Amino acid sequence: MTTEVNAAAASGTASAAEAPRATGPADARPHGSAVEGAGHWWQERVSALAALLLWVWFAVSLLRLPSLGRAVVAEWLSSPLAAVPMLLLVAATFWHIRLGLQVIVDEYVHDEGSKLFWTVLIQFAAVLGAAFAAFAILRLALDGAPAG
Amino acid sequence: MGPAHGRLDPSPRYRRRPRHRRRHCPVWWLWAAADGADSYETFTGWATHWSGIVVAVGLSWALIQHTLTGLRHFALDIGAGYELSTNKKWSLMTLLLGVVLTAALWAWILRGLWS
Repeated sequence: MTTEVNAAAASGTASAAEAPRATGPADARPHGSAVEGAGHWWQERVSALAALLLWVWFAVSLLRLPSLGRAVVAEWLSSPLAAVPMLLLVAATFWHIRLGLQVIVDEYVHDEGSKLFWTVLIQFAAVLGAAFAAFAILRLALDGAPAG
Repeated sequence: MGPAHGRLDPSPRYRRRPRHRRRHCPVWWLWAAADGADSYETFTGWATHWSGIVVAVGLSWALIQHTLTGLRHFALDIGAGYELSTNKKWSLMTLLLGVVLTAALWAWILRGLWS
């Protein structure tokens, strides 16, 4: 039973002419690890923890504001104690998004060309989103917001 | 260049359209606050419109559900909860808790919005 399942899995990678054969740990081991896998896994957890803490801080901060009017929000973000965690929140969240989307691509996109395309697109989109958010935070924090 | 320049240009051709209004809500909120009172009004207009609320409820539910599932996986990463019935119980619990927390959040928000 196990042999049949393994043979079915192996036939995907073996050339059609070869007879399907079982693959086990002995076949996988010589390839070694993907090297970056553990780092990616760890970063995903750390960014998740950072984002979790910062989102809780963010939610509590919003609840404590007297209103969500623009002047109130702008004054709140003019404090470094609000602006710096907001920047960290943006960084942690977009980094976590990038890592998570990358996993989807790694696991479900098998064509190398498509994989490269989506990897680059995700990277660009995450950096773009984070940059725009950071710019907005800094603009408010550094008192450069247009009056009115 | 940026939206701020579009706002200063009186010609209708360059009149700014609300873009990305359905995505990255917090980023749009930050951008609108930094951009000025007009932009902020556009944001709050959409955020309090029924269609904006529908989108925001969906986004907040997705974030809460993802967070709860993430916490469940933190427990699994530590090595706890692999027993089949325990695993199933917490899997169902996160689904239930996600809906309950989202409902509680929006009950609280809408109470303030419409009172």
